[in-house]
Amino acid sequence: MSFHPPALARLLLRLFVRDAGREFVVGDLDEEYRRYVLPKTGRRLARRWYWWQVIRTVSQYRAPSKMVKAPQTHQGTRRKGNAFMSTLFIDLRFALRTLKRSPGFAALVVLTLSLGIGANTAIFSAVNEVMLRPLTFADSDRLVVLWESNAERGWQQVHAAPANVADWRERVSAFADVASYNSDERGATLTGQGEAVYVTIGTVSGNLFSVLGVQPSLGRAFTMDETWAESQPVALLSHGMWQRRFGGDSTIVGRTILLDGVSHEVVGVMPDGFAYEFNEAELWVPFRWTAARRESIWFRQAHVVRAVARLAPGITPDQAQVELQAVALQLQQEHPALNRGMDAGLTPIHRFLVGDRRVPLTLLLGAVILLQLIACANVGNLLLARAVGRRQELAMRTALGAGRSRLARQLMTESAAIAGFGAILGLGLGAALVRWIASLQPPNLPALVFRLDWRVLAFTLTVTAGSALLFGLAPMIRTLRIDLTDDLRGGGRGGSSNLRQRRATGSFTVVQLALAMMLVIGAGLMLRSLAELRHVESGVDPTNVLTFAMTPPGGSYPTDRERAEFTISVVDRLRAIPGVRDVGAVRLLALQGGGWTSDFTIEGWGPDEFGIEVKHREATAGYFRALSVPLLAGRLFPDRLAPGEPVPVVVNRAFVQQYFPDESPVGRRITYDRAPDENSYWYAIVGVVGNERQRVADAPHPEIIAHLRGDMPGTPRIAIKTTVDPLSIVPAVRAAVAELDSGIPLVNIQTMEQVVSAATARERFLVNLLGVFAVLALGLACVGVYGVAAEAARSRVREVGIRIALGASASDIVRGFLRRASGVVAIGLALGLAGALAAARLMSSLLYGVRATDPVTFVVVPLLLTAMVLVSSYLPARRASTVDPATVLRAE
Amino acid sequence: MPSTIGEFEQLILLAILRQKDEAYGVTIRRSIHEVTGRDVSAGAVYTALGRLEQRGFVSSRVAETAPERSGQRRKYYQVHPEGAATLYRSYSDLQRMAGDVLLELQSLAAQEPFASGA
Repeated sequence: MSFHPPALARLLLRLFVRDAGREFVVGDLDEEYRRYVLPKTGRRLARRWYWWQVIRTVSQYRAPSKMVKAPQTHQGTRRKGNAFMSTLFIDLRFALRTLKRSPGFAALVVLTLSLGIGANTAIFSAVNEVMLRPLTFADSDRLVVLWESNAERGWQQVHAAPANVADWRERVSAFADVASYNSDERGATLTGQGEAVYVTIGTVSGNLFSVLGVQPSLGRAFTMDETWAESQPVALLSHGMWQRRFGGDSTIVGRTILLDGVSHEVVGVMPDGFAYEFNEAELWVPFRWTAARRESIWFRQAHVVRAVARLAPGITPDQAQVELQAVALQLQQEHPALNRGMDAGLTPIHRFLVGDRRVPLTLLLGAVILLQLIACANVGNLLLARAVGRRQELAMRTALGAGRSRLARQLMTESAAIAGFGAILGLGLGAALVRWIASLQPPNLPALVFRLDWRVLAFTLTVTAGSALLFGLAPMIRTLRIDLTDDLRGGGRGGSSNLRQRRATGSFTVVQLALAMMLVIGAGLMLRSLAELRHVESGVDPTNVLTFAMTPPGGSYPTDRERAEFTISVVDRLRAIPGVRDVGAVRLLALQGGGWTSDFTIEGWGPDEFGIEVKHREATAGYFRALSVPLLAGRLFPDRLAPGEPVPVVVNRAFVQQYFPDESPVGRRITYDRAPDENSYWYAIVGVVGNERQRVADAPHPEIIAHLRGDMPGTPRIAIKTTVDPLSIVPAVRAAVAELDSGIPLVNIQTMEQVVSAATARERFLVNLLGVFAVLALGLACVGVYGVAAEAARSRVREVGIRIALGASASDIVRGFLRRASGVVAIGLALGLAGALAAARLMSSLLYGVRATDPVTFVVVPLLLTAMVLVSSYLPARRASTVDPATVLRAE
Repeated sequence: MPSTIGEFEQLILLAILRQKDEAYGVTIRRSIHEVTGRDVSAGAVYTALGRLEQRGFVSSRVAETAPERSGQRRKYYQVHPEGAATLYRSYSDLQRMAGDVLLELQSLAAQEPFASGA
């Protein structure tokens, strides 16, 4: 077993235990971990044990009082740089004492910083995981993902047709090898291992694993020959499946398993952690295309596979791209009907896998960096105010002979100590935040994984050090400008130093407001976008609808037609359950995206007339009733077709608007071919139904829905409209299906409302996170403004007293304060607006139905901020206006 | 005044003696844990061992590694006569002091913490 102790903890140990004993300490912990703790407690607890031991040991070595007293050391010689270190220790101890003296202040600054650092740690750990961590494939920089594009069809970087991939593999010499796979995992029923279970399968070409450079941890990978139906059925297990289902039994290789009733030989087990694009696959099987399939038009017409290639030695991606495009051009000429306008291209695999997570992650990273800057400005302001308060102390020390650089260093150490505490607390907060984010993470999104490792730690340290510099600089500069006569006297009635100070705080506040504005506007835009998506007319009524999927196993139902037949009998049976109003089956539910597209012609159209890219699916009539999709013209399907009856289809409103604007399509016949011949199959259009959205953010696409008959692959989904709580009938549904066939597991049991809400999962995820960050930013900014206002009110108490004595009213005083504050606010908000305008453009690809310059957001957010700032500065001003002039003046 | 040693050092010296020739960090820590239930940190053990070695109470030798130590060697410890004498003295002092009051100590410790208060 290769269960190593946690690397990060081990690194910490090596870093902190610096004396000659290190080797033995590290060795001891490793030995104890491997020999005693791991076998007894398991990996999770053992790792926790190791961390705990490291923390204790490190603190033991660091605690200064327990360190070996210098005179006793046998070595005797002091190390170089010891003077530096001892000054550092003195400074540190002094800093800690100073902080201890004002615990409220210390808690405030440390907490402020830790919020920013925690958020940064959490988000960076996701960025690290998704964008920075190298792939585990051998020489992954030599791997490229291949795609096809077609301007005529509006296709951008879509899946490739298997025949085209085969030709690329043969003709493009820049590729050492080309493999393909189906990126949509499919379901199958595994039987013969106790109860029948639904498993998720990845379908691949035989050479995929060798192209990726991944070796199975047990057994062998597939061979290229196994891609075809002529060879024996084989399967590779995922590590998880092997452990769960087969108890990690290493004799599994060579055994056979039953998948959809077909026996497959298990040839190997993939290593732990291998997922690639197969997020859920529990096992992999080869395509097993038959010779007939390979000869059929489908092979070049169906864009169903992802292709991945390994570059030949010495070839750059650009060279490969050129050659690939040349071959694509050849194929256009060789297959003018199917490959018209079909272009090809490639993307380095890492960029491909990061995919559409790049923008949201960059956005979140930007947000937390803004948050951290706001936190720094806040802490900077607080420290500055304190530095002013400590003028006398510092001036006194200068007078007693402390060099200014010595004092500056002392202050910087203080900042570093604050940042250090902030970082420790921040790491903890970050870990908690990671857990919270993971719980928000919608299951149907490409995973944003959050994990703390050394890179994350390094990032956190950098942020911490950077922050310490940022917020420590201003008070330090202030200190270097100590004016002995003035400061020692404890004066500072106005004067130049006071003005400088006010300017410094003012600019901190400006920066803070500007940054907060950017963050809040970003969150506002996302929120508006989500609201727009929520109001999208999806075309279906999701209330009281239960949906689930099932795959009748291929053993008992060998053909697609028989499976469809079985599905229809399930629908019939479910109708009898009390509380059920309507039941239907469908391949591809509304809002589930994807789907098949085809070209088509209508009977009676001219030879050059055809439509392209129409979507098509299959359903029973009950599906439309269950989801309240209206029938606009004609009729729906009968439950069962008479033998020889042409298969009926309905079209949606978008189809009618695009192709039959002036007449009714009902009664016409349609075929999925551009140029129909005697082999074309003609469907009868019997009705028109309302539009359903295929994707929540895309307008409804023209669509043809055929009677569910089994012409399409894929797992059918059942939709049940109920008069009762839809989840309450699940047991009855299970029983009913088991009555027909006890070997069929039900999967993906969801209400339609859950399906609809999953469609906006990404937006909700971003709104949640950005919302939290924006609220934190607002809170910090308000605390900052309040702090500055309170300080201003305090330092001008004398002036206020005099003015009141001279007859100013309380409201005059308040107005005076607010006027000053509003200057700062105006600059801050103006800068923030400009920044937000620039930043919003970067997030425009994430927005739906809202422009990046959305006027509502850009008016409401500044108003909100202004209001909050005015309240924050009003309160101290109000208090200042109530001073009793006599008391103030007497105090002088 | 003859030198004495603290309780923690006593524990360590006794643990070394219990392990005979097999006394190194891991076995010392485990031995203390098994007998007393205390989980002492590796750092504490080595700091104490360092002090004991400086005072000439124990000696050490660096020996082979084992596969589960990722290449780090072991450091074995042995109690020196001087250490043994000091340990013996400290321990028997304690025992003599405790001998007459042990029963009273026991009954005192068994009392409810707030039984006498009012």
